[in-house]
Amino acid sequence: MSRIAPVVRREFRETVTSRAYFIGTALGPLLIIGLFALEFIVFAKGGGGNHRITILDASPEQLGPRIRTALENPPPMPAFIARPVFQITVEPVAAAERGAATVRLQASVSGQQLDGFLWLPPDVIAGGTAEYEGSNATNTGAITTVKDALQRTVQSERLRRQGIDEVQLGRAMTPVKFESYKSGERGVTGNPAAAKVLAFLMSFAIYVVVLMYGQSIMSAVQEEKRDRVVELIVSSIRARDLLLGKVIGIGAAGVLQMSIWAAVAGLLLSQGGAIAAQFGADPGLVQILSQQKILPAVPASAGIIFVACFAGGFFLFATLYAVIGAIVTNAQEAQQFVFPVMLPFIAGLFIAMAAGENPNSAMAVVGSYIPFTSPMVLPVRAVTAGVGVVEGLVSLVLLFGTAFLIIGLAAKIYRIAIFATGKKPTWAELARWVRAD
Amino acid sequence: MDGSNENSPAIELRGVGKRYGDFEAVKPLDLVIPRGATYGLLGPNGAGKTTTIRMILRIIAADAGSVHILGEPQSQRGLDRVGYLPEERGVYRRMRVRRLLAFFAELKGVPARVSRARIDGWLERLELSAWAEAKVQELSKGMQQKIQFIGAILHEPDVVILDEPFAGLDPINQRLLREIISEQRQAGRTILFSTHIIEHAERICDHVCIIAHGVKVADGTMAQVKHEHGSDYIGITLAEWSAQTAPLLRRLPGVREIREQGNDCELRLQSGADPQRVLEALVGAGVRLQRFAVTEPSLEQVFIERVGAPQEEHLTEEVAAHV
Repeated sequence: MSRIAPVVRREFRETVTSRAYFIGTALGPLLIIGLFALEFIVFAKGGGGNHRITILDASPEQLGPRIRTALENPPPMPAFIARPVFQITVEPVAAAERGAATVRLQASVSGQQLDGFLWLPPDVIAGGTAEYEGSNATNTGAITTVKDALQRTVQSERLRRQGIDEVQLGRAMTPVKFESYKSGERGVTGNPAAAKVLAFLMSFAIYVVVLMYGQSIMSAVQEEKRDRVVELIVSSIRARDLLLGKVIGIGAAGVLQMSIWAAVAGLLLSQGGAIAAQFGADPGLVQILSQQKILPAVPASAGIIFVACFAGGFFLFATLYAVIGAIVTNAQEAQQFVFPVMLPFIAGLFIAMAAGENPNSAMAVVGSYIPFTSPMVLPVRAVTAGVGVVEGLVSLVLLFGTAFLIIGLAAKIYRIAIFATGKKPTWAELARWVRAD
Repeated sequence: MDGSNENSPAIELRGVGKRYGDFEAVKPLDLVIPRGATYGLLGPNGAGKTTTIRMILRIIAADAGSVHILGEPQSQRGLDRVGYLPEERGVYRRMRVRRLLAFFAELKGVPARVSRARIDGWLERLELSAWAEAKVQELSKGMQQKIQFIGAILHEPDVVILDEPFAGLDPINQRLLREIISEQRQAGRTILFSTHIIEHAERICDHVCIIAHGVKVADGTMAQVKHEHGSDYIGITLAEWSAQTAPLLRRLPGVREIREQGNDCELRLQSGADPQRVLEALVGAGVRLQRFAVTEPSLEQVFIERVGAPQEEHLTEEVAAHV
């Protein structure tokens, strides 16, 4: 182990002091914050704007003016959310006049004197279809508001006809407060939706780190081979130790980067309100951010399984990446080898997603045993369904056993491949290198 | 020097061979390199020198035979006491010089706090102190080569293996390197030195082994190798060269072969020929001589005769990468 240490230190130090790593570490959280901010802006500001709408009211109940009142006096909303502002004109028409009125209003929309018009058919109370047409028909915020107002008005009229008092009904129909919690010894207790998100985040973290840092390891090996420094290294230590040292060193840099990102994300999730208040944000927004539910508490066993799967999965795939780096001479050739190797890994992510919904399905259970998919599937099952001690141990033994087997075989190929130049080896040649002493 | 197995050779190979498919890169080879020797491993390109060195250093596994370093079978401990300058010069180009050297030392088990002072000393000696904090890629090729050489001896090994160490160095640096090798020898270190340039070997080595096409064709001290090759050589220096000299030399009795270099000539005699008769014939023909000596053959002469004309080898790429 002592001779792996200098390699681990060198790889870690050279990676974390590189410009690319610094930029990646700093930009990662900024990118995440940026995406959240963009989503928020779209949500908060996207539904605003002025909307001039004409209601063609053919309903015998003359619902038009009531809809106008509902639209012009919307329920209270936080001030930071942009709301649509409506200028409503109600035009009572007979059903037979619809065609002519439509042509006229379409012309107004084309001439930009009007944004759209709502057709209320005579049988709207009985179930007839109301129709909206206009230049703003794709504005989700505005259209949803119009639809809500229409719905409330029509439903209220229906109730009135049945002789039911709307206020009393409102009280009776107040939603029951309901929250579901997972319980029991296994898995995460608490909010199941949050548990599912957490489980997926765990899988995804493994996926991202393997993909990003696997590529890094592959390039590092290619560089070492190209710069011909490898002969000097393997004259001092075994090729297997160089391979392991590289995987551990660059992997540790990856874990550090992910930890920094996770810390930033955790800070934003838990202290988002306070941070927003510091920057003088709208009190409504501060309130919403402060009420964010913190992710559920994870039992120690699920935490251990996550860490073990992370380590085992990373070793397994990063080793394969390193070997690919050793046997190819350029990035194009590398892709031919990367694809078949990564296929089961990508399949693992899909099985993990399915396992989030149904953790005890046959696919999820089998997937949590197969070493190439288990790094992603097992943590999901551990969080959502819980994994027994025996099941967890068998799965991890299979994963680590395979990882060590692969490292052993990979080291044999690596030892020969790092000296080979010229054309890339065939699969038969690779098999021969594995068999060679 | 380590106290254990002090009488054992520095490096000992018994029946060590390597084959790539149908190509036998090194046929089973016995090699004994005594402690304190400066041992030249000579051979034409593709002879198997680098493969042999790589097998000594466990970089590639031998198909057969055993390798002992300082009296012990190959082990991490043994390899820690060997310094190596590979033929294919390589460095981590983006690392800083001082950090790279500290890394090389660490690989040999020398902690950074110990290597620091040594690194400073060597950088100063090789006039590279100003570059200590520079990235390796900012250095010239020659400078990078000197950095690599420092890396090979920084951990003060008992055995230093240098594969074509002079390749790519200018005459001034070649001389500097020869001085350092000489110092290393005086410090009691064993030096295994591979080259295909015979002149370097003749100047530096006290032992030589010539291999060709994977087979050892000569081995021993410099004197032994030359003696075994035959001592029927005469070296002469002519006072002046004239048009008649060449035909006259060719008519000399008992002379099998002549090699001329300016006014110096090396005459190889036929078996049993008498040098005295050659001298008489020269004097009788009126040739004015500055020097007449019965000598040993030059190492170059031995090499050319033992190795013969280079054969064309058709190597696969895989094999070529290992030879």
